[in-house]
Amino acid sequence: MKRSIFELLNIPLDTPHVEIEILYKEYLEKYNPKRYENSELKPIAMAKYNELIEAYEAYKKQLEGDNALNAAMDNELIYSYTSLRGYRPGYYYRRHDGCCDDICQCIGCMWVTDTCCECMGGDCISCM
Amino acid sequence: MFGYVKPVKSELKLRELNEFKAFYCGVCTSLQRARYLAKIFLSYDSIFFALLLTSLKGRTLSYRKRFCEIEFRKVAYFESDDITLAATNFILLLKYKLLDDVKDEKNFVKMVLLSILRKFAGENPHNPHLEERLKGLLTELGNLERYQVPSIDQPTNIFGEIVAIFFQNLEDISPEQKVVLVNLAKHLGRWIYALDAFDDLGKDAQKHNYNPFLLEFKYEESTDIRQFIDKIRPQVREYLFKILDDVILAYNLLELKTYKGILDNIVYIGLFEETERVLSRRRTCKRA
Repeated sequence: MKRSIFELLNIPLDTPHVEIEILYKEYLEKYNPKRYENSELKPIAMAKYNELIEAYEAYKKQLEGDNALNAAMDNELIYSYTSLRGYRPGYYYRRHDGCCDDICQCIGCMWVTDTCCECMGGDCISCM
Repeated sequence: MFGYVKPVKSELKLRELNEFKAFYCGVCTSLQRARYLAKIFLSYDSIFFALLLTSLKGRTLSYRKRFCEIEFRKVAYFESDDITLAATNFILLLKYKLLDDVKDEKNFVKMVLLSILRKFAGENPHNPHLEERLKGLLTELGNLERYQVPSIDQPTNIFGEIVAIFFQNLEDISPEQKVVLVNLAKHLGRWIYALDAFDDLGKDAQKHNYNPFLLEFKYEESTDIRQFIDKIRPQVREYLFKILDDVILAYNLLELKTYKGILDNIVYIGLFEETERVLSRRRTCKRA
């Protein structure tokens, strides 16, 4: 079973192309068989190196196929996906694993808290 | 056992630091009742072992909480087979380390500790022959020390083998990755032994204990130990960095899936920083 570039680089499927390219170059350096001269790990490094190149070529081929479609999609995506237009590097994206991922949910949570509080005779947010 | 394999905390993300602490508490928790005793000795090396296995298997662990009687507060910890295995191996190593110390020093406190610890050191279900092999290699190492072999490579290689046996016969890891892992362990063991030998240089020269560096670079009683250390430092640095290079070559071939940030920090920064710290004989890593 051949592994895809996403599996090899251990990245999510929606990683942007630019990032894949950077990572691919990094891993190419990592696995470079020239670094493993006189090492018993050379065959493994060689196998990994070739596997990576193969996977990247398959990815490229697929990308070219989708390219026309993607170009149209990309524009749409960037400007309509969210109302926030400022560029933030991927590093700083919020991770979506909390209960308050979006503002609606957050307000909902606060509302429920306040209602519970009020049931017990207290008051969490006085204006609600 | 030595605590050289640890991350540079200031370079970790807070999330990763919390995870690392949870791994630490996880290993401590898995020691079960032995932990009151073993906590004193618990070192970062066994945490690295647990981290490496978890990462290779691509597992994400979830936090649990318990009250820690030693730190006297609630701690978050992880729980998994790998962490239990790390704890089992740690106790096994600790037992032999204490045994060795008792033989050398006839230290009464350690003798008492050892007799208590013996109760806890159970069988390792994954690797029944592990203890026998460990015993064999330790005897070999002891022989080298007894005959004062004037070479640094021999004892380091044997210590590398000792570390490597803990990484053999692991489940759920592909054969290819296992080869890389064993290779990594071997070089890491070499590095740990050499670094520890350099760390103990002054003490060993004073007490006339065995130290491969003293013999390798022909230390004479009349010379000052500080001058001697200054003289051999560049050679030792080169030697240690060469080993670290092998460690990194092996590490780069591992397919790590989770907790990669912590491991990268340990291997790419922590090991080098620790080498420099020991070489300069500073007590802590803090810069002036």
